[in-house]
Amino acid sequence: MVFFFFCINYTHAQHNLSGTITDAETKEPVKFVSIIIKDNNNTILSYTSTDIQGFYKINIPENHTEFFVTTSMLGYFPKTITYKLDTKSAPKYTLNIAVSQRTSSLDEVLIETKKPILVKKDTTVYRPNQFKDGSERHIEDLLSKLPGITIADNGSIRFKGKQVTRVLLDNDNLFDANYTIGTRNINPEIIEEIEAIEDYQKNPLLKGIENTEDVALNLILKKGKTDVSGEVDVGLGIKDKYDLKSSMISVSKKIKGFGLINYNNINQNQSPYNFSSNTFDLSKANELELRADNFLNSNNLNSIIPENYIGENKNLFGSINALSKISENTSIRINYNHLSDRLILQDFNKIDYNLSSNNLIITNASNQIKKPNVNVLDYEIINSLKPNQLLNLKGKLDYTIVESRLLTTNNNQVFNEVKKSEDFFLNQELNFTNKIDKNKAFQVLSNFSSNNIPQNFNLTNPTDENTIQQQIKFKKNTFNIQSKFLSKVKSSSYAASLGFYNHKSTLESSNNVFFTGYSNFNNTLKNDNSLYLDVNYEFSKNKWMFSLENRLLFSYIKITDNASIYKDKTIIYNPSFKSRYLINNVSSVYINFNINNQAPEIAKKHSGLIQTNNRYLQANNFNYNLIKNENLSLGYRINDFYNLFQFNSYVNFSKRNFDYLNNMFISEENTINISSIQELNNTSYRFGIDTEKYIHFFKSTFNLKTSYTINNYKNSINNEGLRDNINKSLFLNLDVRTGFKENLNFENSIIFQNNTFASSTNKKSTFTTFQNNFTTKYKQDNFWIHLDTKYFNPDVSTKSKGVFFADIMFNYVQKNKKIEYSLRVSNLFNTKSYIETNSSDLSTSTYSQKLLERYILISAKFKL
Amino acid sequence: MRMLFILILIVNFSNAHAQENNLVADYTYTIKHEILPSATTVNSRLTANAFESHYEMDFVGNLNFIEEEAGVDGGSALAVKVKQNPIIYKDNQSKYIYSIERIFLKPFLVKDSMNIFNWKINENKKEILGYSCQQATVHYRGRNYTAYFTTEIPFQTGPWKFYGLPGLILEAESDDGVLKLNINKIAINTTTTTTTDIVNPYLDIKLQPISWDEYIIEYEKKHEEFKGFRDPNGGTISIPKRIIETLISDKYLSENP
Repeated sequence: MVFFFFCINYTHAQHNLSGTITDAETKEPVKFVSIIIKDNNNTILSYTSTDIQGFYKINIPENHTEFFVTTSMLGYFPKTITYKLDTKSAPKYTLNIAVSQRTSSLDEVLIETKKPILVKKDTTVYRPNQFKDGSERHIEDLLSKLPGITIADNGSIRFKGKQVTRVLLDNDNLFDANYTIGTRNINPEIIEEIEAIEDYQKNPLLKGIENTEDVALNLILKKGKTDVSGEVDVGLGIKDKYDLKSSMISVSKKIKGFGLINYNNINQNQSPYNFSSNTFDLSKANELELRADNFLNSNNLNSIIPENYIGENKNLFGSINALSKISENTSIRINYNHLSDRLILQDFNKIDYNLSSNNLIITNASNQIKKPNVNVLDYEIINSLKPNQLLNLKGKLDYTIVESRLLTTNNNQVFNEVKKSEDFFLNQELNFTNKIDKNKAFQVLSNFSSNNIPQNFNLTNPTDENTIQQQIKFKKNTFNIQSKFLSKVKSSSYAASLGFYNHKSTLESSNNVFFTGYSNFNNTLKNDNSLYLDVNYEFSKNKWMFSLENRLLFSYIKITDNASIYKDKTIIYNPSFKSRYLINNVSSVYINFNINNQAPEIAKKHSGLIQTNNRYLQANNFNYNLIKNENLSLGYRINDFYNLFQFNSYVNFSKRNFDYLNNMFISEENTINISSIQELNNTSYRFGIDTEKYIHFFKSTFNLKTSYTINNYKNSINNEGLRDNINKSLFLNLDVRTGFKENLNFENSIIFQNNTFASSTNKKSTFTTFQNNFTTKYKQDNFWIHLDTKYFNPDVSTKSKGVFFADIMFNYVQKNKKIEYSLRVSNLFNTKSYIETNSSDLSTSTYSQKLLERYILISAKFKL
Repeated sequence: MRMLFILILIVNFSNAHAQENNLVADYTYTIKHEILPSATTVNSRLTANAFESHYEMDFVGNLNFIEEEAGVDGGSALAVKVKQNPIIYKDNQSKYIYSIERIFLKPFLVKDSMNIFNWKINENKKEILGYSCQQATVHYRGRNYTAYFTTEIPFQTGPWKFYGLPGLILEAESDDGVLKLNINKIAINTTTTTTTDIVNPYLDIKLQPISWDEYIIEYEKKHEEFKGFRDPNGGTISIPKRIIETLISDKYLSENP
């Protein structure tokens, strides 16, 4: 019985071997010695190491009665002892070992294998799944959720405050500057990861030589079974509303393509071209210097109402984009966009002029049908002649026609207006880059452009059969060639270029408007031949960054206008200085200063009258001077992403020494603006703070933006003399966004603006606008609801009621993500028009615009 | 007798120097997170002696041998510039591992105690670089790892944070393929190794060392805060629940939904 019990114990108990390891010479215990138990095949069965007292305890492997115990320690010879289990000592076994110090070091060893190709990859990588909440319909929605990325209303993206200039698709520049076509239409489900590439250099040969502040976002696509994917979005609603969209993306080794077509009448505009408001056209950002002016097509007033509420559209937009590597060294990109729209815009304007002589009230109503038709072709061919040489051919053709028919009033008179303008633009660039070595490169850049804008304007007054007819032909042709040398030395980089450009603009116009003292035709020419030298230097080391850019121009300018001629040689110097100091890894201070001298534009030089609507005429008194603009900014910035705190405070000062003086003659029938260049010293000061902080106690993020601007400017009314005007403007914006874990979340934004105008000849006038946007978001699994309410009060002081908007959207995604349904009610309370009050140094005005009436749209989106 | 005494002294003196054994081993370090389609591979270097080991992952490029070439389309320019290579330092005397662990890019100096690996030795063997190696497995902070070590190189250390086997670890891989470390060069007591000094890079820096548990508590706190943050477009920030080691445990998640 005892034996049996003893046997069981023997087979189930854990047996240990323990002991002390000592140094054979010093007799001291040795710590951290490895103790290994091996079998006959040299296989290790268990191991341990001695503690700081030199003591070890090791498990004896089961089923082994004999094994080898080896010691291993750097600095000591290994010692192996054969150990036989003596059952008498069970279950505790003891083994003390004395180890001898090595007399010499280990043998020299050097073994190497072929290393695999190593790839360095340092980019900020976003994994979309971490940021998606399922309500993203297009990439732009997903991008807006990534930390560090902000998106403006026109779709332009900023990353950590820097402008994103390109959005690449698998490293390919398919969209070039017009990336909104992609970001607003590609389905985020096909994106695997998003890389933000700072210091993005379009030209691969200049990487490491030229510093840039550009950022590119690279969308890496999922590698799937099909390389073609697309979606169809069908929306139909009350009354007679539709939104039909289809897009397709195709990716293969040789060619990448994206196509989009949209037909809607719910005031959505998928194109980058804007004809209903004054939002800046992103697609023309780089062409401002090359384009002539369009007199008839500027939209008069800036409204704070979002574009998609204004007027009524019927928009067809199509876009085809393709990029192909036609050979190992050559790639070609082609983009073609077409837009045709029919916009119905109705507005009413009442201006109360407080002039010293009399009070004049002018009312204008306008009922407009505007039809833009745009066709744009963009292409780029990149050829790598040798590994260190690159040739780039880039071009654009843009043909835009805008036809408008208007029924307008000017006080008691009624008019029929017909406007037609054609805008034909061609730009061709040819650039050559040679990379001399790792730190130096040489480039030859050239471009040629031509812009021709013929415009017709017909103004008919049916009662008295007076017709005003006007033709304008505005042309601008430019040619530019420059050679540029770039070099980088340790912490500095230099660039020097020598170039020549010719800008020739001609303005021909004639009409049958009669005003004594002014002609009704124009034959104005400006020819600017300039030789220029650019020298840029940038230094960046440790906490300091310092950059200096200089342009020196030797210009021969000739301006002729009807009978007068001006020609002279001028030397112009435009420097720009920037410096930034990093106080620590979250905060920095910066200072920017620049001076810009420019020759006046031809649109401000013509002496004959040009009429742009039923009452407004413009002309200029011809005198020549350079327009000089000086700018100074200082700022302090904290970007503490870890503590979710951002703070940016800045001070801005700008001065225009010579500027255009607007001399306005206002009568019941017309407003005539005669401008001339005078030494006015118009100044403006601006101070602002922008801060954001997440407060965990409220589980909410708070954002405060304030700015205070003082503008000093001069003008003149009815020849009553020069008036000194001051405009003080205070802007305040407080946002709160909750981040509750539950399904319901809120956002509230308060915007407050106060404007004061004072003039040397007039009393002060002030007006205050107030706006509050409140959004409720509810999300549950595949279903979400957004309720957006906006309250605008355009003039708090007159106790006006203000205007209230609401939009609601329901969205449901099927489990397999193939079909998505949504229901949208826009302008829930059917607010008919928006009334805005404005004040300036000479008038108070009320402006009202007709809004898109309420509609309900049901749509289904299918993923192909 | 005196002569013998002096002789023994000299012999002992030279013996003391003869005890220095230096190892320099290069490993390929490959990391591929679950959600990413592509892996990042860099070279890494382990320098060790009896008392300490120093492991450096070369993201900056000093140890890389192949220069990155820009492609025709612009390539992938460097963005978040790594100014210094990440280093893991193991002190065998006081039994601590030092490393820089980050929470949303902010660095923390973590001083972890050297009792984090509970290796289990298996019978499987394999030959690597001419050395006979035996297999060992371990479950470490959320992942299972399989390593091969050889007692023929008596350094009880290895690449990355790995240590504690009775010989140098030549290969270690996580079973899910996320982390892979493979030896490609070993040098022991060559002229280059004897002149390489091992220094604890974290002795004089401004960061105060914290324990791994304190790091986890701070990580959990930030994870909560980031979830509540909303940027102007409604976006939020999410830090990963695990990078290599598990940082937000399932237990924490069940207590804090």
